[in-house]
Amino acid sequence: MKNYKYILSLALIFIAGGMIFQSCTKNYEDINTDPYNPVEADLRADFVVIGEPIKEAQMNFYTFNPVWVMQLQQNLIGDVYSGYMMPPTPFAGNVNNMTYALVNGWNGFPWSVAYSSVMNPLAKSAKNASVDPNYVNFIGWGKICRVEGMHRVSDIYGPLVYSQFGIPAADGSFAYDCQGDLYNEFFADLAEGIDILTPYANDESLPKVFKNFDLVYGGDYVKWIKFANSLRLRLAIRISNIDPAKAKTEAEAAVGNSFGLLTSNEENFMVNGKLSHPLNTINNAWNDVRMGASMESILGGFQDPREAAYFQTSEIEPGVFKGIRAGIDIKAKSDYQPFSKLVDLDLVQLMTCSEVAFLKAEGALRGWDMGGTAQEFYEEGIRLSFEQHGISAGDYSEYIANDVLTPMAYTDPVSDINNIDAASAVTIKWNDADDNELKLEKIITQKWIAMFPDGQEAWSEFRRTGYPKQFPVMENNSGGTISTDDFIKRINFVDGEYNANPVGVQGAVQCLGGPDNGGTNLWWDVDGGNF
Amino acid sequence: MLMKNKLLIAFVLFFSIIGNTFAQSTISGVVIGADDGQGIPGVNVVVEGTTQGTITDMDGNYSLSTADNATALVFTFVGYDAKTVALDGKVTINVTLSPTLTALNEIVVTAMGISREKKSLAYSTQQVDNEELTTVKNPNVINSLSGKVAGLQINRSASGLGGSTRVVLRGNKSTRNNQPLYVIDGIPLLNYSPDQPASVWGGSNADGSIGRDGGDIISSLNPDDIESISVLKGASAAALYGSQAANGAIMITTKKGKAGSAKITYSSTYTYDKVAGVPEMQYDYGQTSDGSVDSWGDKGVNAPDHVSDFFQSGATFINSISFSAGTEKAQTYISYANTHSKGVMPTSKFDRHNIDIKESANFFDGKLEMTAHVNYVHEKGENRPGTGLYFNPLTGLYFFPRGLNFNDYKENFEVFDPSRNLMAQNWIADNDNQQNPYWILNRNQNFDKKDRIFANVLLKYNITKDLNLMVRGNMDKSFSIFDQQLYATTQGTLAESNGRYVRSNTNGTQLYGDLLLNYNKYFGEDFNLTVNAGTSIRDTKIYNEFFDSKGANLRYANIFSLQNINQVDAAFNIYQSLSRRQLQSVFANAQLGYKSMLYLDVTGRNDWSSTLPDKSYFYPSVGLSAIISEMVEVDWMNFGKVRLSYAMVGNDVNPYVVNERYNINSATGLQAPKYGILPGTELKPELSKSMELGFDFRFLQSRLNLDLSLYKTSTENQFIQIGAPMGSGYTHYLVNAGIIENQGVEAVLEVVPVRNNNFEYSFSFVYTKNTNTVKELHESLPNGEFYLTEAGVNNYAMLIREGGSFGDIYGKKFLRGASGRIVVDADGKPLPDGNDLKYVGNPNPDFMLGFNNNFTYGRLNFRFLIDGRFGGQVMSITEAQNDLLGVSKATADARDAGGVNIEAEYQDGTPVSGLLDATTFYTTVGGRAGITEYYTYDATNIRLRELSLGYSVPLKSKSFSNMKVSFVARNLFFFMNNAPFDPDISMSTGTALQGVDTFSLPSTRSFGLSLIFTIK
Repeated sequence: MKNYKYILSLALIFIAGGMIFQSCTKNYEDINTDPYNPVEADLRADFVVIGEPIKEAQMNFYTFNPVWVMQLQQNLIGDVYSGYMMPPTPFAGNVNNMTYALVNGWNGFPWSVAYSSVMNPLAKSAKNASVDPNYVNFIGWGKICRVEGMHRVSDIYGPLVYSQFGIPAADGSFAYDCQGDLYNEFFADLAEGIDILTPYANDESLPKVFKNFDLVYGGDYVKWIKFANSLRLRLAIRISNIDPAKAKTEAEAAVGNSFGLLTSNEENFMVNGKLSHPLNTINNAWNDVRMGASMESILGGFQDPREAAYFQTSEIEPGVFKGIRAGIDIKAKSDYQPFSKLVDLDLVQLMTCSEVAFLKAEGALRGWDMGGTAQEFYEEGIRLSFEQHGISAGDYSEYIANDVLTPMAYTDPVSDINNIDAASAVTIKWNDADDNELKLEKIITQKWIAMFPDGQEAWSEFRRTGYPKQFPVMENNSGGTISTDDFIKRINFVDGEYNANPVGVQGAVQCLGGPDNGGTNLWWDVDGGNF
Repeated sequence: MLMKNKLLIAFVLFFSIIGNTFAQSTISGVVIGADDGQGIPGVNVVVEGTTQGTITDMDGNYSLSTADNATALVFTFVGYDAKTVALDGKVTINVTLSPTLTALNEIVVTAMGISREKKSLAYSTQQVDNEELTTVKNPNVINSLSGKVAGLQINRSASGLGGSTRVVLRGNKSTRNNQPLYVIDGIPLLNYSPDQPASVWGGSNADGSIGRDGGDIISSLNPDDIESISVLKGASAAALYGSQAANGAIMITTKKGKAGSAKITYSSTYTYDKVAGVPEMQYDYGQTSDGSVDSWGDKGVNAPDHVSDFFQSGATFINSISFSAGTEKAQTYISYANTHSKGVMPTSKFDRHNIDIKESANFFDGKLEMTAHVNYVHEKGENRPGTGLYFNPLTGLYFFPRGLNFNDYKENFEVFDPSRNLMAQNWIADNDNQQNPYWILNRNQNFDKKDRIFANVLLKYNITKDLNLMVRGNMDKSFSIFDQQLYATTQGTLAESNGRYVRSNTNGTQLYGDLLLNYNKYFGEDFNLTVNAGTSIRDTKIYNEFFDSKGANLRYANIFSLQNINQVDAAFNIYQSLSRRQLQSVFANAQLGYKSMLYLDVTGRNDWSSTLPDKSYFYPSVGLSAIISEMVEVDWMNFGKVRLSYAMVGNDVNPYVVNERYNINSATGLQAPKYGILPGTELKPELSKSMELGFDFRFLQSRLNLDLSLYKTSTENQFIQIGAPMGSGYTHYLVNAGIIENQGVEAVLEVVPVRNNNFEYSFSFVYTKNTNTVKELHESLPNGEFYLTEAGVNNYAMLIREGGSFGDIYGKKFLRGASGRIVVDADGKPLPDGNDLKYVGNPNPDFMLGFNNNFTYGRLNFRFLIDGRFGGQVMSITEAQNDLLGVSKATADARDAGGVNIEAEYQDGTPVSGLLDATTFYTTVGGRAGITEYYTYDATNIRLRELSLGYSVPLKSKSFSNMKVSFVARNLFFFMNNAPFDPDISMSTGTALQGVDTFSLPSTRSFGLSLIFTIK
């Protein structure tokens, strides 16, 4: 009798246990589903799964949020190397990017943001759009966005994983495209994007389905094509020293497109992330960025009315604009914090019609068919920039006629060892008698002023042309890998790739044709003159 | 259990003795236990050399008639050392019996709440009883285990009362969580912390996010409700709990009512807290120049010490009362405790109320037993101190430029701003890592509230004498609210122009049920079989709602409500999250004993976890123990045991990770998945294998006892994230990888060098040594390392690296020449060794030693605990920042001495003659982003952790008894501490931020009085 009880109880346990597992583990898929963050299947309505990833990409060409990501993505790289800005903060004991000690912990961000928040969402969008031919406009749009997002990254590092993105090699590695091939891919993507969007642009009756996801042009196909053409021109100009024939072909194709380029300030490529401009936070709340000394020298020297549109006068010399020289010895943040702040910004500006005019000016200077002369486009560029910043036409006429003013010498009220003579004696007024190199210096100097605050593009053009001439760093902690007089050329590849994708990154180093450090020129950055 | 023995013996003795007493002269008295100061019922009192005697009553009183020729009385009781007292014509003899150190037949609570004879166990457990936990009462009872249990390391949070605790048993094993499972009366506790600091800033990054110690659940228990705590250190011990107890288990047994007695116990403790270990400061060198935030200026300002004056004395008041009564049929225990504390940080306060109700009853002649237990806790904290660079009054306090008038800023922490028509912060700097300390205390206030309730029901049916069936159910709910209100004009990185409002709401829910069949039978004389088989289900949810107006703004300044968050085009952060998992298991354990000499223990458990929905996993354990003293007779050894065990335990992965998810960011919208499972692999459970060898010896009538354990644990298939090749589109792959090995030695040595009628001295050493080695990690981890705390823009990182040890600290190092001298540039500025962070130390001690001393003299009891941790390194960002700003004493000493005395050379290798310029040196080396190697310290420290002097007051009253008054002290002083802060304090009690101090509240020393008495 007793034994019965044991057996019965034991059986009971296992029957109960068995029942639990048969009935309850069925719920495990449900239990293991996050109720608050969706999977792809939850996101079909309103094209969210196709459109929102493109929006994510637009939010991260230049990251809106979190702000510190943008600080590392661009502010402590291109914004400083372009001469636009300089932090008053001696980060990491002043041994950092500014003094050519490249901080790997920072410099992975332009890369990781580009891949996780531009390439990755765009690929997801393309994948989800490919299920229905009616969604092809998203594919075309995505291609243009991909070039906009990634050419900036290529111009930081050089080779990128692009054509082979999402396509592992047999050994699990991801191959990089050398920068020459990469630019070909960019041109091809832009051409394809334009081709796909053209029928939509030609037929007003087609729905602007991506309107809800478009942070730039509100779903306007024509403007996107104009932007794509303008971007194509930018990239063509970029390769003009290394591959002049291809550059000419691409540039003339861009200008010849029936929709044309960005020509008015209403068409500027301004991203509206519906959030405060990240530079406002860095400038105001963190006090981690100030005017650069080159800006003070050139804008001040030219008595440029845009100076007050870009910067506030300083506290250190009240009523006077004061920039910080890049790469100096900063002992305490408080020394340089009272220098000129930026003015508050609204939208994130990534391309303007003024820049496009300067691109055409350079094309014309190079003898390409841009539909006008270099002087016409040069003056148009200045005019559009003045217009963009609300400066009167009278000031413009006076400005372009000035052939006296030149950049001025720089003085540092905190430490006079940073004082330096003006880097250039370039003037404003166009002079047909100037040689091409001087004409180019004028074009690029004015383009540099006009493109503010997009330091990334300005740094690229500075490297390509050497203009505007800038002040070298005072402290060079690169251990000899970066020349003080030749300035920094690039950022080294990220640590993570050396570990996770060693085969791929070794291939990329081969492409570079030099060591993977900040002193190796990018493919399009040809030493010597520009002609 | 002890109680039952006492009753049983009382019964037996009563009947055996009652018949043969002669009335001649009468002696009476009371027998009390030295352990709890309470009367012991059932003590056998016999006239020496006769069978004549009696037993004590329920209160320990006895009365005995003796013959004229009687010379002495002998007092004996199981579990206590016998005592013989000469009569010498006395009529009253009161006796204190000391418990036999680690009684041979000690019963301990093991996994699932099953009681076992300690000698039969094949693994190490250590039990700590109520008295050891409550004599020097710590409001967070887990902190009281420090120095008392071998193999256990405790780090406290810096946030004082209401703060959480980091407990690690036998070393860090997992990259995710190393905290043990807490079990109350056999039922697992859902212990979690709503939030922990994540970076040197305090919050998750340099974006002004709020970081805090959100406390945990275990810290809110009432110490007086605890009967004992039993620590199951290794996988073998905790095998029945399976994956939940991969890090060991701490079993808490709570008090219940006792049959045949009714009493009220009141206890009250008041302690007074003073800060100890405020960083050493200078007050002689002034502000560098007008408006600057640092103090590199001229000597001779002779500023007052505003730092020491800032802290107030803290006070903690703990009152508890318990009602306990019972009959054979039903027992009741009801208690209420109240903790009220004022922190050493001005404005910080903490209150707690605990209510505990336990009912036990039996039916049908004991066939059916039932226990119901309900526990409720309410906690409220105001301005609990934080840690890190943000929202911390200590940064501004320490940095304050010398020579300015601190009282001005204290009294006028806010001044009227006519342009805004509000009171605005008044401070010397607009800098994210410092604000006016009084502004933070009054206008950046935070509030914490926690409610927790659990209800357990246990039903046990005794089917036969040998077999019973037990069913347990539990419902556990906790609600935590955190609220922080930052007024307008709080520094711009930390709040928008109209202020900032943060509110977080965390709920924990657990439903638990198990069914357990227990069988215990002797077969003949020699064999004993114990079988426990069961099944359990545990469903846990941790739900969080979080609102933070940061990035948006408040519509109207200084109105803190959700509807006042300006939601138009704003990046404010709202999210909702649920971490849910369910674990279902079947398990069985069988123990076969032979002649109380050999025991074989076999356990198996199979788990099904919802986080790995397609998998089930099984793991076994086996153990063998041999009682040598039963096999061979050795004079000098009264007990000897050798044990050996092997166990495997699995551990599931985090919820939801097996499916790829999009994330919705409230500021920016949809984010494509960033994490994916490594292509070609699937996720599986972690696996921990452990081997344990132990020895347990008692010599000289148990006056010299040694318990020694050697163990080795290898934890494989850790669930980790590795950096993905970016071409894949993911930032991280999720993989199982790595082997982390822990091996160590634990020893407890107990000695009673003196024991006589009036005086006893005993001491014990508790020794813990653990060596952790990261044997293997995933080959594609960057540099073979895995970050537990990313450096960000600070030069402190914590990571695990292949060949390294868990928790290695990385910092920026000096560039050194061939001779080992530091290298400086032409200006005498020290150069860093490259841009990368390098290994500078590991915060885990090489070994720990607790030295517990206990003196009893009559009614006086004196005990103290010295706790030492030897080896290991810690880093102080506090010192680094203080040096950078020229406010530390070190900078003044260097300036006084004409420079820093450190061997240096120029880049060409020529030595620097003389001293390095102090300002250049400290402004280069100092700071959170400086050469942090310089701020790495030996973590060795030895302290007087606990001290108490107690007196059992003799009482004549019938109803008052067992009154004990004690002077108690905690953390009284350091015999040695090489670090500039208390290395036991941890910035985070999670896995990150170990061994670094960033403006944590200085540790406190406490002393006070405690009173306990019982009313009947």
